[in-house]
Amino acid sequence: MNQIIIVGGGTAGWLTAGLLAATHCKPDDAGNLLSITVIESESVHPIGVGEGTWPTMRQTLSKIGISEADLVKHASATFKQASKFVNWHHSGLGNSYYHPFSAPQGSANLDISPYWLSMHTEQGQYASDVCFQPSLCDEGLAPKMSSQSNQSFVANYGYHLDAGQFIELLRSHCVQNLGVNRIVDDVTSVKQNEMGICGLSTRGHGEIQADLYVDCSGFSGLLIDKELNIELTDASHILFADRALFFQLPYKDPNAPIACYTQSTAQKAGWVWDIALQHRRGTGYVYSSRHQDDEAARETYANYLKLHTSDSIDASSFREIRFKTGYRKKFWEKNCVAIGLSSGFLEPLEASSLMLIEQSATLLAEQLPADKCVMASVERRFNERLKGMWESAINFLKLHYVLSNNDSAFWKDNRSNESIPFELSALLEEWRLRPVLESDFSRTSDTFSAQSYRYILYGMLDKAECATANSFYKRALKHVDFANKQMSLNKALIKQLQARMPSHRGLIDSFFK
Amino acid sequence: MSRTRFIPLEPVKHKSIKLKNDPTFSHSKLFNFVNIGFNEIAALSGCMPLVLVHDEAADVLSLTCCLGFEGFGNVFYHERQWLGHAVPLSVQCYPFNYSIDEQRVSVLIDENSTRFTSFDDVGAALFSSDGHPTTLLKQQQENLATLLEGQQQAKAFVDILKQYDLLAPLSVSITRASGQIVHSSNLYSVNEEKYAQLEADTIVKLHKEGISMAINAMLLSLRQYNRLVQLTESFEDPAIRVGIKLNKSM
Repeated sequence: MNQIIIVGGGTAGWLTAGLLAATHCKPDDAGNLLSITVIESESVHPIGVGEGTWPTMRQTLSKIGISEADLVKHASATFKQASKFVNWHHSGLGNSYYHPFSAPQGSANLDISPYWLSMHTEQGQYASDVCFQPSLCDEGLAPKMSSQSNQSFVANYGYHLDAGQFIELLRSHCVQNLGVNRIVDDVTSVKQNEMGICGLSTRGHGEIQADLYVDCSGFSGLLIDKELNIELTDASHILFADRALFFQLPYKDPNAPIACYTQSTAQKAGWVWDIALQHRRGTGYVYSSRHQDDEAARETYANYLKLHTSDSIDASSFREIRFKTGYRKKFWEKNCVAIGLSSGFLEPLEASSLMLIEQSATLLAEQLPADKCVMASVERRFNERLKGMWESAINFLKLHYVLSNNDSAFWKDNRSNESIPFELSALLEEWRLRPVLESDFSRTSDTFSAQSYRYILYGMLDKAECATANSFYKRALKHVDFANKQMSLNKALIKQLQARMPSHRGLIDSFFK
Repeated sequence: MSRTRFIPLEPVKHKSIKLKNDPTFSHSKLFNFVNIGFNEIAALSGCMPLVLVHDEAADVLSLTCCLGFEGFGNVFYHERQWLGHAVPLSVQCYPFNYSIDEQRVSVLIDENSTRFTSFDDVGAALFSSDGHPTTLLKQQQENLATLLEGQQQAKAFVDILKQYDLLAPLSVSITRASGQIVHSSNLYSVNEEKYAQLEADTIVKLHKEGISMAINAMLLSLRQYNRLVQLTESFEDPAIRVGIKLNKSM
């Protein structure tokens, strides 16, 4: 395997190119280097709304060789410490909660959530009681002391970034430092034989060939869909949203504080994302057209934006994408691998899109077959793993909806039994009677851990439900002192961090000194 | 050196000022005594003498450390570095200070300090561009909080020493190479004999409260007067001898 062509130069294309090139950067015994070529069209523009990452992006970028300082300086990056869910409950029960990236206190030794559940009547919110990070988010404080702070305290974080600038940063790094070839051209036709794809005709560069083709062509699915006819597994009966409106909101004051979490605010037929970058906010309304017509959706979205700006909002200036939630029945077919939007679409709740790109590209780079003769078994493994990841992500996103008590049609439909995957509904039944356990998620493809499930489940359950969830399990609680100590330590840590950490913008300032 | 003038720190007014580092603590060049907190006794007692100074005008007895003698200024000051392993917190805090007004603690800065600058490329900012305190200012605020707490505890400590009648006038005189003798006045330390005669219960109580440790540290710290004498070596007409006498008959 010597030649790889990646079709499409969006985030998926360049992240994949970077990971492949950085992983396979040395020549083999025969002196052959892995040649990676990205073909990107000048006439097709990336969607570019994937602006939130997981903490995994830190390892991904470090693998590729892009520094955090470059990301902050050249992709307008800010630090993301959590997702904050606002109004996911209709009323009454506490209308916002966090899903922080940092683990609860004491996690390395013991999961303290069953203890929290059993003392719940006297406690506050789950995430704030067991983890310091919601408090950093509330106070607008940074996850670390400065751009240089490698030794001192660092909370777990991912990034928010400008997708357009991020693509440019990846592109120039891949081309200048990792030897990735770049062809600016349109693919006009695709040739196939029994082995899969055997050549791409381009408008200006004739026919080009490779051993493996990666389809990063976005929604169009140029190779995986149009050529290889791999269908989508439809998941729109689980996650109903099928449209998104989006709009960039500049800060009134260029030095305004920067939120260090992604805010997701529930609306009548979906939810609004709100991501704070250095110079603007990226927002969007994800909704179900079956539950709200486009005009009403624009109005809902405009009403949200009006709360955050004094400028007049022109609803006709919103950009729109239409999508269907689902994923390919196969992500790898013969000698073609689909990564990014060509492989499927998930609403951007919990920043799953970039995460799935990272996971797919990392797995491809790791498992890259040395020879075509072993391609079939790698294909099988890749497909199994990715299918598991998508299913796991869909289950986790659905969890957010099923716990709501909002009574509008969209939310009610979300709670209907037939819309909830069996695996999730079975777990929900069990969790009514016992805590969420690590062993509930034992597959390698389980992308969301028990820890994440706890933050969502206990973030949304009311006190009585929490107490019931633990009555059987109480018999197994042997470490009450340890758990109480962790919760006191959490309080002490919060106080200490409030007195020491710079603001989020203060941290960003330190990169520009 | 311009006069010290402490004014309240204001995020808007002082948005752009930067603080220059000064490892020599040059503002303290002429200091002889500095008020210290109870929580500094352990750290400072191995480096400089800790004594009580009576301010006759205000009739206040303060817990202090001695940094030098009249005519010498602060002997720990040197143009390249501080000549001790410990620095009193209030010296470290400068050019910041605090004031308490109706239970509210405010941060003050010496607006005449040359440590403050508005040049971008020198010094570290007090506020980030969103007006939030930087880590540097937060560290200063923490230091001031420790200082305030320590000084309040120091007052209570002095009251306890008075309550048990443990104070003894301290007479310190140094002899300079020229033969000139300089006396320090209005100094007090602990009357060891009276301390030893306290009831056993009282001793246990004072021990549990950390008062005994502080008393012992204060008494031991008087030996640091010899270090001060040594540190005058580089001065013109240095000190060559120090005489210390605790009047225990009081």
